[in-house]
Amino acid sequence: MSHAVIAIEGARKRFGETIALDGVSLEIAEGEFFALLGPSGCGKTTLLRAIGGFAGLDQGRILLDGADLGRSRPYERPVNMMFQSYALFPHMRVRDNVAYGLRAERLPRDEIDARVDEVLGVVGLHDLADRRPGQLSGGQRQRVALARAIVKRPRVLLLDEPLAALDRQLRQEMQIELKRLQHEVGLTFVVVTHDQEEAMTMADRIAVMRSGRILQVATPRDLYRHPADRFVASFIGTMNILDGVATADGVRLDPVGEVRLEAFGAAPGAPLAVGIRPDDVILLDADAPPPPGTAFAFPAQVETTVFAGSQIHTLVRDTQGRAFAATAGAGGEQRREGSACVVALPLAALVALPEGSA
Amino acid sequence: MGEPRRPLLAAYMGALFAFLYLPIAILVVLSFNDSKLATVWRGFSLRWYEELFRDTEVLLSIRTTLVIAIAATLLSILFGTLLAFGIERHTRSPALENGIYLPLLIPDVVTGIGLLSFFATISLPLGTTTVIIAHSVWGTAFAAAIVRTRLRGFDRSVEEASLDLGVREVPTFLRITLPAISPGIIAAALVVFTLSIDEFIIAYFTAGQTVTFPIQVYSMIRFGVTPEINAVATVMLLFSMALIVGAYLIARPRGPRAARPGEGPA
Repeated sequence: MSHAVIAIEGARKRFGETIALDGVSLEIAEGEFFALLGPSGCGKTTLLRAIGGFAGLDQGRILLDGADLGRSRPYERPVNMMFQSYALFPHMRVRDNVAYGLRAERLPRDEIDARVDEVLGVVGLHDLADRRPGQLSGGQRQRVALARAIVKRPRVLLLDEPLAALDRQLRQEMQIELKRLQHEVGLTFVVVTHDQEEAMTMADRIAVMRSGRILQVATPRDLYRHPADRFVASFIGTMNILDGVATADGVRLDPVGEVRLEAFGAAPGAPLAVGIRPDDVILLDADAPPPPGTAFAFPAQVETTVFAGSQIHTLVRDTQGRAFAATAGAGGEQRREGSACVVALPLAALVALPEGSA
Repeated sequence: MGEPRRPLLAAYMGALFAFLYLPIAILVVLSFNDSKLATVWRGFSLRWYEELFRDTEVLLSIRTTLVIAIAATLLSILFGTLLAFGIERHTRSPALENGIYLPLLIPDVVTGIGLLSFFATISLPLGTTTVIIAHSVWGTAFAAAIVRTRLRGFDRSVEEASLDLGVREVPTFLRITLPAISPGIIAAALVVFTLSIDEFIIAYFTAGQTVTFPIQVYSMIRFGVTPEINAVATVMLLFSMALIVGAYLIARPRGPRAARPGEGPA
């Protein structure tokens, strides 16, 4: 990994009875697009605000380029934040909103003007520079907030739910747009979001948080393919989860059988779930032999099947009443509802899912 | 438009408006009456206004009242704004919160007696100063209530954004917070000023030998309603109307802020 811009060491924070951060350690690399992902109340916003200087830690420290930020105030940190509400200054024109942070640095006037113009160009707001925030649409306001933060050229840009206030279509456009902008300005972005799709689309790496702890830090691909525990597995995309029992070198699923599997240190006899993505589940005709590499195969019945254009989603139920989701490409066969089939789970696609620490 | 005419309703409406405004209209008309008797019309004249502006006692009382109103307004918005911040941001105690508004509900007579005994206890001689203090008591409560409403609708992350962009707390307050709540402060100032100008009861208790404008009018009226009183009342009416219009002009939404057709948000 390249040089860490931000290093968080053992961060703890509680608000009264609520533990917001329960020992968080993390490193964020230079130029990275990093996402803090988790359900509301998981501590992700507290962590972001701690980096920005808006919330002190009870324990632990935050290093920026190796130096402890300590209790320094927000205006002393070379870090800028884009707020969820955008927090634009309503009585100032777009141009003055963007120039505000540069004026605070007492830069020469022509430099301020040049940098403001440049940033307004980057976010495509040149024509609206003399409007007030009240005259802008949600998407335009979002871009003003972004321009105002990046014009300071911070070491790290913090984005608190940057797209939450936009409607769905605009949100998807802006995901790509933010990613493009991050490349263009070459800043380190740390974004907080509760939307796993958003995190997967934009981020180079994602930290999944729950109850003040980090469950896993990984690239979107690794997070999807190798979730560290049951919560991560179900939070990121769809995952079929089967409850089993850990064995000495794998997992046993009653009554189907037993396979060798890297079991993440679960003690033999302890409960251990395994997961498999719907696109890895293979559905076969009732009498067909399972293909090589199959870990488990068992009979089931097709419950519902949906043709969704590029994909076919099928829901089957086995003899024990467990439901499995299976996704096949549009070229695949669409099975009749109520028909019998065999579910085959390839060994290579199975992931051991410990209960997790949280 | 398509509403059927309802003569009874219209008549009722007319009667109601007459009830509300006729006394004031009569007062204004009679202030231009060229007669020593306040109630008999003898022709148009400005003589009572001339008399009024030669009446040094009246002029002095107006001056006293303006001094009191301005001082009480300044004190009230200073302490009221601070109080609003304290209550809104630094406490969750409902008792403390309601404690602010209580002075508005206490009968003026009680407040007046209370202040009178208080000033006597601390041996503060009655006069302009004591009236200023007295008016600041409920003025502060009013200002706190008004500013607080404004503060409640204020997104604090706007202040945080200013800190984040490199501006310290005090300049942030001056450049961001104050402009945002200033309509509330101006409204509070106008309310307190208007109330102070015609406040009689508390001033009567706490003024000592000092004569405020309402007290002056009261003492004039004891010798009967003269046309000069009508002129005084008319001047006062104009003055408070001007204040209200001023308040409206300051508080109304600015024209260019609303998007015009054709250039609205895309």
